[in-house]
Amino acid sequence: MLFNSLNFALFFILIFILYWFVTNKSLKLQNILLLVSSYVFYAFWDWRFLFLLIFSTLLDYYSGIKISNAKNESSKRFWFWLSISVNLGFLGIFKYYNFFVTSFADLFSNFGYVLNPKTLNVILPVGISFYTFHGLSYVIDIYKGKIKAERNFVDYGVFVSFFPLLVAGPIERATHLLPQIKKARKFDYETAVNGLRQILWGLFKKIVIADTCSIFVDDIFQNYYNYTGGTLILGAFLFSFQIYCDFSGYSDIAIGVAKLLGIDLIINFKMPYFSRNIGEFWRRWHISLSSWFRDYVYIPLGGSKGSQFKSIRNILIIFILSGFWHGANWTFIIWGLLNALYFIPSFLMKNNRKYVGNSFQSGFLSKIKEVFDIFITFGLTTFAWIFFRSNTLTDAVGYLKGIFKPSDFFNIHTALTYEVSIRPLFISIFIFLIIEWYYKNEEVIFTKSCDTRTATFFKYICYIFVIISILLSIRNQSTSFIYFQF
Amino acid sequence: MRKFILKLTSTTVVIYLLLSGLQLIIDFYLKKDSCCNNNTWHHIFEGEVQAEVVVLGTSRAEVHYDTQIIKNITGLKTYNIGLSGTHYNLLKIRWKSYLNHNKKAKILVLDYNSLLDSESLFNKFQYLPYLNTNEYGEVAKGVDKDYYFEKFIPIYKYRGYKMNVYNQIKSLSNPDFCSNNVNGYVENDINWIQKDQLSFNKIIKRDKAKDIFSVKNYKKGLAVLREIIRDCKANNIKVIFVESPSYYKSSEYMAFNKKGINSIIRKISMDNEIKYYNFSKDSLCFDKGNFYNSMHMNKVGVGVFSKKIAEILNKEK
Repeated sequence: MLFNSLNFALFFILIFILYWFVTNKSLKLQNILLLVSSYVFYAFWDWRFLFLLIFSTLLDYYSGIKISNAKNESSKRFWFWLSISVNLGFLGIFKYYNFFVTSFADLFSNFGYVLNPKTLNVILPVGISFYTFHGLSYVIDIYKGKIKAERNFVDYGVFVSFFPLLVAGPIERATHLLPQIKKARKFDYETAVNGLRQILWGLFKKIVIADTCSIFVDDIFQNYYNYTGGTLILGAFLFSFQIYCDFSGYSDIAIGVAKLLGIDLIINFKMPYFSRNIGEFWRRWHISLSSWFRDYVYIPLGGSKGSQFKSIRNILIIFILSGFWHGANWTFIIWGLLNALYFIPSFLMKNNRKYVGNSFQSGFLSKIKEVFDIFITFGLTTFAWIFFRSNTLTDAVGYLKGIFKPSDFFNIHTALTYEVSIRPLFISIFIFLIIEWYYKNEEVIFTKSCDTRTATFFKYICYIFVIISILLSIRNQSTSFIYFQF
Repeated sequence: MRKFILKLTSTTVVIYLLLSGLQLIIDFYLKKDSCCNNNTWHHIFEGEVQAEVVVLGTSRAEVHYDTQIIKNITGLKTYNIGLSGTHYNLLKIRWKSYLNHNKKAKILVLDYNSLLDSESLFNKFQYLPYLNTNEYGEVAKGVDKDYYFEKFIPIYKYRGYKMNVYNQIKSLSNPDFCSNNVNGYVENDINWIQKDQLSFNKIIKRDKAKDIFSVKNYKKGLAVLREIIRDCKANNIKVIFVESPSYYKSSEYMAFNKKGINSIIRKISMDNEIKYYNFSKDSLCFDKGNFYNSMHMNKVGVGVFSKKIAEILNKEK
């Protein structure tokens, strides 16, 4: 069931009515409703993997209690490692097994040993990387004594499988989400309206920008060897917008849907393409994953405390892990590595935290410099996205070589531009950037802290533009979100 | 919650009305006479097809009957309401729109080649301004799963046609941009090219594999054909069946497959005393120079064929 489908709209309307009009008198009933609806939502993808989700939930729930109740350190450690290894084991089997065995076979073949490893013919259970990380953070937090184990299975089940975030995040923390699940929720007008705004903006990003970009991106990346350098740069540029609008669009809808149910999820994106350096970009991009790696990998490894060598090692580890989290492919690893290489110089020069605030500095020249920095950062991330999008490393290298192909660089066309005009897409991207820029310092889109007449007028113009664009861009078949495959 | 529901409802209503207004404006421009490629629809819905002879059929009708030549020879005002890519089951939209909005013709030339049913609307963009008409609704709801969404959600019907809408409205100020269309006849002054030969070979291969000429594939088209004949009887319109020329190799290939259809057409023509003119073995069919692909004649072939049709009409009038 996709967020951008009629099925989901009907499903959610039903849940909304049951949640606020039928079960609203009892928190227990509301949570049961959320758990059941989350399982129904998940079963729509593939009911067989629902058992895996329930098993993983039960394991972490039980392990959490066992760790909390443990009388001695060895028992505590046993349950902790059992949970960690089973969770990572599932992830390893479903996501990484084939990658490792084929990579080892390739490595051995370089030394003249031909191995024919057995690969598994399994599909990746949707959302496994997300709900596994929920479970892991929960168990780690209990083990470290940060939180107490949750005794109510329904509440814990809702934390792991709450349907808006189940298949593509944001990756929540027990410290943030569980208290909200355990507290009675009251319908709040402002929160609900903000939720609707975020859903609308998320749908715009997904349907109008991401899905339209994908038409060109798929063709250009598939047939890169036929295209000129200019077209390949266009392809990379469009993919930057596709991946951002696809994923942040999903997050916006998830956060908006949760708000309509009175639950606040963590922000996952903060207009990352307006970042002025890579450090800032990573504080604004897929925040829930970056902070997860920061808290559960980087800091436990020592973070930036210690020798410079150790700090650089830690940076490399989290960026490569972050790339690997996306999928079992060398392209993701190189993507992670590239981002680490972008980040390390600013870390060494200690200016990675230079841009922490939202507002631009005052002064004309500073502003010019910041705009220049934004373009540079965008260019660097776009370059890295080429690896992320390519099917293999060979394709990525071929794509890059194609960019520097001397002939006909400025002849920008794709086979598709003859059938589908790219002009409306450029206009949409341009207006999208204006809207994002206008609301760049706000928590929620279409809300301004100072509600002037101009702001209100601009807001209504935006609404009309967004709704018309969505209606004009809906495809007959709802398209899946990119991050579902991770 | 009450405030939320009230605000949500009122906002939805306001937006709905705004979008409906916008749709009305766009439709108004798309319906204009000078709007490219759509002016036959405009003439039909505005009751401007004041012709004595009307030609109906698929693309073969649309590009085979030069209305000017026919008029010059017969003196009868002729209008071609043939419609590309649209078989008889969906041609009902065209026919009923014509019948309901225009002065009835004296003679209807029904061009047929196959009666195969179309599974979807070809070039759906042309129908967009007329989506709310009964003629469209009656037929489209059976083949178009988006029919109700497009009918009731304003603007939604233009999705996927943003540039078409833009170009059509732009063409209002630039009529040279339009295709060559005279009273519904679309002229094709081009020669047969190798690409067409390849696509012809492909069609033969495809159709053989699919056995598309089986009766089950033209059940609805046949029903529409019978309905058209009934309408003509009721409105005192004389019907003539014509199978216009196609390149002989295509006729040879179709001959075996079309046996069933031809016998049905022959029976219908006998039962209803309809004259039946078959040009599938006419001399025109043996010269590639008359065609731009296996099923469609170019300007040269159409010039000769239209004269032949005009002579027939002279006898029939």
